[in-house]
Amino acid sequence: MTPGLILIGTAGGVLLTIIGLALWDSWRHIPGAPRALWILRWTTTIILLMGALLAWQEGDSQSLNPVPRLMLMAALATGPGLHPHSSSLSSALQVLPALALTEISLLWSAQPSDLSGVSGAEFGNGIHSAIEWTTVLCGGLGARTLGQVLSQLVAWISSTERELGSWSDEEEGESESVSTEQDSDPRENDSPVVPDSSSTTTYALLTLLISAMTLVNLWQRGTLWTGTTDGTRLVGAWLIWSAAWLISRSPSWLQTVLITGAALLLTLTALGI
Amino acid sequence: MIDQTERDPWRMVWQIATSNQWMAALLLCIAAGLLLATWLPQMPTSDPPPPAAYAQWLSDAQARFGNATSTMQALGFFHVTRSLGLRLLLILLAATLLLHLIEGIDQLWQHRTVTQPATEWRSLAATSLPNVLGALSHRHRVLSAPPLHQADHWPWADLLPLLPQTGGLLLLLGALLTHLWGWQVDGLIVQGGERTLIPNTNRWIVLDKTARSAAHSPGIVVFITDQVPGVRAYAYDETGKPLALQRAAGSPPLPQLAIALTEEQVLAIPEAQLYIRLTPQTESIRNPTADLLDPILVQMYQSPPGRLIQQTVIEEDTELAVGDVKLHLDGLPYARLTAVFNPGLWFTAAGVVLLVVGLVGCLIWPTRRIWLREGEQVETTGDPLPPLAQRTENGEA
Repeated sequence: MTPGLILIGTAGGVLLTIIGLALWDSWRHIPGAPRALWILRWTTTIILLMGALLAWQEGDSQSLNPVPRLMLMAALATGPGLHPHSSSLSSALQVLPALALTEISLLWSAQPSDLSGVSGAEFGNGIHSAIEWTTVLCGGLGARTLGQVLSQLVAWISSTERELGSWSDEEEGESESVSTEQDSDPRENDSPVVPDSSSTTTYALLTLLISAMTLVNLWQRGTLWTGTTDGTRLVGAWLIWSAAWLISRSPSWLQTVLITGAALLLTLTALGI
Repeated sequence: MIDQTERDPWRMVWQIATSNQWMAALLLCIAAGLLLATWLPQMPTSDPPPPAAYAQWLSDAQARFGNATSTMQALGFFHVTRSLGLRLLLILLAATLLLHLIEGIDQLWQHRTVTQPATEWRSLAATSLPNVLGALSHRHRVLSAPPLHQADHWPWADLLPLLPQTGGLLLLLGALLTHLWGWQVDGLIVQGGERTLIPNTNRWIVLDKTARSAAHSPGIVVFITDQVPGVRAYAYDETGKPLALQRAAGSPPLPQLAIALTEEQVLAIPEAQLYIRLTPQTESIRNPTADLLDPILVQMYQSPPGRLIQQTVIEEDTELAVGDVKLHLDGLPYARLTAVFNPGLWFTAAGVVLLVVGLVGCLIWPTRRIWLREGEQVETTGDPLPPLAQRTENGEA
């Protein structure tokens, strides 16, 4: 059993602990749970980063093998913010993609299969490495965005249910509801997902990746379009994310669907599935 | 009057065409087309397609889709990126980008002065207007036309959205120029150290002796796809007299032949009644040492009986002797190239750069416009107040 495998297993265990603790805390409030979850998420990130480094050293250092790729993506998807402010249920949902990535890397370590990711081999060594690393970063941030969308979606559903409950209570009591001007901002109530920094960072990085690939294609091959499957999927994810960004002024369920689809496509492309 | 304005069909068309929703719908349709192309087997793009590649594609398509293959082909599912539908979408996108650009320029001009907000007002409790305006003025341009005050990031926040639109238009213009006047030649086999004219053009390519880099006419881009093994063949009799070699029955006899071994090749030495078959051993791992050849199977036959008289695998410059005849096979590097003439290259590159600068700029510095007015209470509308102004609003500053 290699040290990399031990770290993957440990990270998977800590992630399961996070989910368990978060669910327990959301059911029966535990004092100090948000801070414990925050510390556990940082711990998992560090374990996954160490595991990625070890797995990278154990493999071919010239390219990014599937296991370090998966662990790096999981680390990016796990990392919490600087302050422990998110709710417990939110923490549990946010680490779900990271848990999936960790489990895949564990399975892959036990039984290797073809999981190559974006090769970028056609660009030459230096550019190849840069494109490969950037794609993995994009995939990790995509997985992180997926987790955040999921947690925000659940938060939105529960808040909508609460609002509907209070509204029906008021209606039953035949009391007139007087809305104040302060809560009339439609963006705060209609939107299941408000684009956050993770989504914006992913979109910015994806934009830079696509443009770099396009410029390299133009410089090396003289063409805008080489038609590779991975390149096409990345452009597809970028177009979907652009569409979601364009309609961000009037957020709706559509934006949630688009960001989820684009993040999923990006993560799968980075995994080479 | 308002009703008449709303019913004006041209205004409605303009509003739809310049709406972000319309642009988003177009982008989604293009994305769907591209993703469909990654899922369905696409026909080889060369015109005409290489027979082997076309046969392989047809076999894959028929295995996956059976009888539906011909219908799907007729509907353009197997050449999505060259289909009329996708081209139509790109034309619509170009038109939409142009309209967005025109409207963006108009807004840039209009927003130099205070504009009237169209949204509802909300009141700010326990604050004074000078405090909020003071907080906003650090990072915003503040315009005042009492009782209305406007804070925004003009001109940069209005200028930056124009860059992706201009970039997108330049990119599409570059793609159009390439489509109309550009060309691409795939699979050119060129010998190391040899100057070659690109078919049907007056452009040339010269490979260096190792066939690893190429010089070429200005204005084209040459990409070395892969290295190809090759040999230079020449033969002598026992007196040292050169023997003529032939590639085919009708071809002229030559004292030496240069042969690219992209596939099995045959040559003959008519005076010695020998013919030789050269087969590259493609399954072997390529030897990175420049002095060695890729393994080549050499089979020599005596004619007329067609009897195999010698067979060997060579991996370096070799002299093979058959009776009084000595055949020399020396390694000769070749490369397979793709040559591209792209008249829209600079437009495309400039478009990509503008697109990226504009998009990243918009993400860092989004368009934000806040209006404030003071009546009985301070009221605001437009975008939410930034955190600093919110703290002021709460009386903390």
